[in-house]
Amino acid sequence: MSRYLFQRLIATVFSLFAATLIAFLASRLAPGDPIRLMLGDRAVSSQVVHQLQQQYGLDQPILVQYGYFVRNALIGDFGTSYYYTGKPVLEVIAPGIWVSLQWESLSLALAVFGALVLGVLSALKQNSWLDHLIMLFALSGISLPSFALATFLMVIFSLQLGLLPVAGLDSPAHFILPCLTLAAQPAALLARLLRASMLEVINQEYMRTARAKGLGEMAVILRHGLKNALLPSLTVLGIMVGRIMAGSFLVETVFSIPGLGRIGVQAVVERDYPVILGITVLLSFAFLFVTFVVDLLYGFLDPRIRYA
Amino acid sequence: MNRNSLISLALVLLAIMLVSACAAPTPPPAPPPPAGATVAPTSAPQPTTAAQPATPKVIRMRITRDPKSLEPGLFSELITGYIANDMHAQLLRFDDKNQPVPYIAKSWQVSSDGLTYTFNLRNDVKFQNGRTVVADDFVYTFTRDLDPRVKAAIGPTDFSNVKGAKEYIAGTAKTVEGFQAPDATTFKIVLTQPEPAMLMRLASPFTAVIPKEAVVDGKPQWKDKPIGAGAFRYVDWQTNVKVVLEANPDYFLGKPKIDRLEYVVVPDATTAIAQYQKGELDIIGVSGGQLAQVNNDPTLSKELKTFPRAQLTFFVLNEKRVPAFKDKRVRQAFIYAINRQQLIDKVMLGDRYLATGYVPTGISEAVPDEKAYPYDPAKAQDLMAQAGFPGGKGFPKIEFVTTSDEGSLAEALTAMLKSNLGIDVTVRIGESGDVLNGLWALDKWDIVSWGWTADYPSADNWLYQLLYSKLDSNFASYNNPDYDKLVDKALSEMDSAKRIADWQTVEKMAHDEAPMIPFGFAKNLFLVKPYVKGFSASMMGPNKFENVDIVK
Amino acid sequence: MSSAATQSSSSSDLAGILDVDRTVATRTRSGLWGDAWYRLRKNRAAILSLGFLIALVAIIVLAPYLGEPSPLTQDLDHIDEAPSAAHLLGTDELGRDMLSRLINGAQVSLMVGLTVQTCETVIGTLLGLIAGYYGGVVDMIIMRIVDTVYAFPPFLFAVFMAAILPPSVWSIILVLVLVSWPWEARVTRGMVLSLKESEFVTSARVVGASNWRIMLRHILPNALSPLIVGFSLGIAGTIMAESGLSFLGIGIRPPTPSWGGMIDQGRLFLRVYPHLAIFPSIALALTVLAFNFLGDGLRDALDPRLRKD
Repeated sequence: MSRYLFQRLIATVFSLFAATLIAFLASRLAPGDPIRLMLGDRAVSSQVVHQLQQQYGLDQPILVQYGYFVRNALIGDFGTSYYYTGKPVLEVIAPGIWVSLQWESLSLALAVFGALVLGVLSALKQNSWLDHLIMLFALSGISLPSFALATFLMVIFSLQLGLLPVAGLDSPAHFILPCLTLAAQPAALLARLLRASMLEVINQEYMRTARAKGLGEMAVILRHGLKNALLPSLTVLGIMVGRIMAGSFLVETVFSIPGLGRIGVQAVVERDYPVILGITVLLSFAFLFVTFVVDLLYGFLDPRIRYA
Repeated sequence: MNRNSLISLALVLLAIMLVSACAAPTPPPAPPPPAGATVAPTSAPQPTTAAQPATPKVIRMRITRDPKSLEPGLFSELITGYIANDMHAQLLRFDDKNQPVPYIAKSWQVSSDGLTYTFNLRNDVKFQNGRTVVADDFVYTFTRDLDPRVKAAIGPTDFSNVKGAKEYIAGTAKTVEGFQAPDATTFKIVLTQPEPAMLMRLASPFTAVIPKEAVVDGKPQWKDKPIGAGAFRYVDWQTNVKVVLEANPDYFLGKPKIDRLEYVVVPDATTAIAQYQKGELDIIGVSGGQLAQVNNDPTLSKELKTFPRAQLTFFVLNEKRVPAFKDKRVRQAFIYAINRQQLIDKVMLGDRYLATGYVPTGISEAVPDEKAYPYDPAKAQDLMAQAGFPGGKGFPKIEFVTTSDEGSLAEALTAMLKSNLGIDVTVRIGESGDVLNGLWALDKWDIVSWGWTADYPSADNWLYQLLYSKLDSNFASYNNPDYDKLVDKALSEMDSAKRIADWQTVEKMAHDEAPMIPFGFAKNLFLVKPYVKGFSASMMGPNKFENVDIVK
Repeated sequence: MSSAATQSSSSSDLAGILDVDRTVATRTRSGLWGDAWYRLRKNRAAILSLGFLIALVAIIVLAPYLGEPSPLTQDLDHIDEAPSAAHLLGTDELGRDMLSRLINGAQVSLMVGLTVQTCETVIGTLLGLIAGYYGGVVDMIIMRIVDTVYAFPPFLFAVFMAAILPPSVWSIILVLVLVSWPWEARVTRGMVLSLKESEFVTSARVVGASNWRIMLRHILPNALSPLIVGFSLGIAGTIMAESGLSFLGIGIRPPTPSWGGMIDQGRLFLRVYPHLAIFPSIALALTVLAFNFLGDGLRDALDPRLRKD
């Protein structure tokens, strides 16, 4: 196990570096001279532009620039933002980390909880109208782009019905619409998977035994069925996290949520390369970390797994 | 109703409630007020100033993104300018006619050779930290703007003609000779050559004064406590959320009528209108597609306020890329072939005034009663035939470049060129950064749609910066020595009446030459809630909120 | 070992990040094709979906002969009109016929979906085969690339690529292929790992079959069913991913209509001209649903173990 752990760790570090290099190269290949973008619409002589390029080290060979970047990143210095004058990248990103963590984990919790309820219900009432309704809902969840779903929900619940605030994260009520939007897709995914594995488990021997022991149906389901059905579902946890992180790019823009996704989109629009690089490193790291943990968790819960 | 569906409904509701319960932000929600009590606004913690009125008057205005900085001199950027305008104060400011009038400076004299400006400052102006503003603060601020380490975008342009500026930038002088403070209330600027636009520059919020003590080690501590001398003082800046300002009780023109001003970052246009309708925002700027909704909604259309804006939008005809554009007849043919009024009415939904020429109406140098080229396809075809391209034959295939928010415009416009001139124009939609970069490269795009906003309301922003042959910002690569001569004359004229006449001569020549296609003079469009009183905007943007009030 | 392969193939699915929903498809065994078709026919949702998709293709093919106006013809005197006899689904903000734009958008969406899926399946399968079969350094290199692509935030990657590549449909296709091929690679590799030591592979090797022959003739066919299911579900995911890119302004560029772009444009008009956003939303949702149902049906049909009788 420890050898496996070590291998995974090496691989993770490698991927992190590779992802950074790609991001770095891409940012330098992309058109749009960052200095010109920094200056905006102003008429400035090319001499001033050249001076600024030197100051930001943009006239060095690209691999040298990458070397500097890695060296500085290792001591936690991702450079300064082009957009927010002189502000360290970490300072730009840091508030977003907390916001993203907060509302995205809530969405994940909502997705898991919702999927549990829907998946179990529809498995229990297999082929009933309720089952069909739930599965239709689950499929609808994955058939509308999240930015469209976000807008529809906003218009219906905030404007037409006036029940919920439109945008921002000022109060608990502000979380409802964004979380519902973001949770819809992963919830649908998990609900379908849960239904399938529940169906598989329900007819197993030990379930019959449990029923024969006179346990109530609900207790049988929760104590025995769900536990065993959950294991295969664990494998999609990584995907759900990935999907939530990706969805946040769209949903945070619609609901004005100051998370990492919004900061990322904003940085892209402004061509704020240091911030884009910082977010890439951070998100890659987060994603690899989650994958790593899920792998370990899976190995821990299912001793049959032998790692190749 | 079926029992199962009831259970599932209950569970879903439970889930939602769970979310809302867990989602409490860092300060826990206050206990519910006793029945009948007035509910205090929950949006932000109360600023810790004494004697607040019962209900604070708060105005929440939308911005599309964060300001770049809260220091005025660093960036000439729209949103930075909005906020600097409220937080800071400068020597002069603009009146309704876009002319500089006293602000911190009570009065000023310009020497007869046009080289020395002497400003007499008020003595009752205080920074928000309580210290009185003195002439030395201007010396400090402007010198700082020239400091290469500060990388300010303003100084090197605005103060390039100040005596000693070049030496200071080169590092051969420790101070800038041309910034002088003979006493606490006298500030002098000495130039090396006359510069008629100087007063205009000093009226822009980007030249606002900042206190030396707020800057440590050459870096501003703006994150902690930006300090200005303006009507509102800094409370908080949550990145990507909002910038919060509160009324400055010591403001030298009197405490503003509202208590708090919040600039709220709302990137999405659809969301912004929804928030305005729901009452989560009090003022939003609107443009383009949003107007479809505004024009069709009886409430919104009543609340729409329109102000002219010092911006020209135009289509660059790049002579370097397409030699055919060197022919005046071709350039004019393109203008005649485009039904600009229809594009503005139907595609831009009225978000422009038709550009009659290059200097927007409202700028003092604009030519009164200037007539725009009419839409005249027959004449356009005629001119093209004269230029050797009958029915578009032999004309190269060209590309029209614009940003994604003008995709519809590009499509409609190229369709007109195709049907009226028989010319094939493909559309390329780029990120604004790409388009801008290609513009500066000068030989990348054939036709580009772009806008040019004035730093100060004066004709040279367009007629000189965009069309003078020796400038990088001459995107069309228009090169006409006769034109350059006229511009040179206007640029050095110190007498304001003569200068206006000079610029009008330049404008008339540009109008006839048609080096670019002028499309629209931009509008500042705002949706303003009826309870917001006294909100207005100049051509440079929203006016200071110092006289704005809330009357509910 | 076999379970480890399956496990790693689904634990961190980047395709999933781009909304490509195919994970459920991993656990399959080969079945007799005839049986599969028989079982698929009994799945009403899948058959209905198949019918819908065939009809969609028929409309796309027949569109030029239906006498509908061109999707690019503008009429600035009739903008934002509600559905009428002249324009069955109304007109858009430039007075273009919504129905023809939807049909044209369908063509673009299906073209992108099919091309992306075909390319990524070929690339991913080949690399997965090679990695799994040869193992060792080759495997390590390929799988590290796979991990890297998985870890890269896909929208940021897409944005980078969109900035570098010229704005065209082919660039979008390239971007989508680049971020999603690892899924196929992982699935195939997993299959190869579990089949490599099986009897029929060993015996093929004994009789002197070449490596490529073993890979293509003996191993690949056994990995086909998850790939087929993934293909159907992947098209749905690709269409969704493209719409996300359109929202960020880096999807398919005008004047070429795309559903995602139309929804994004229409959002702004939702309260005054709802048809501009709602019709493309419905078209997109129905198509994505159809591919999902079809994929589900295929999975059930190809993997009898999951069927409950």
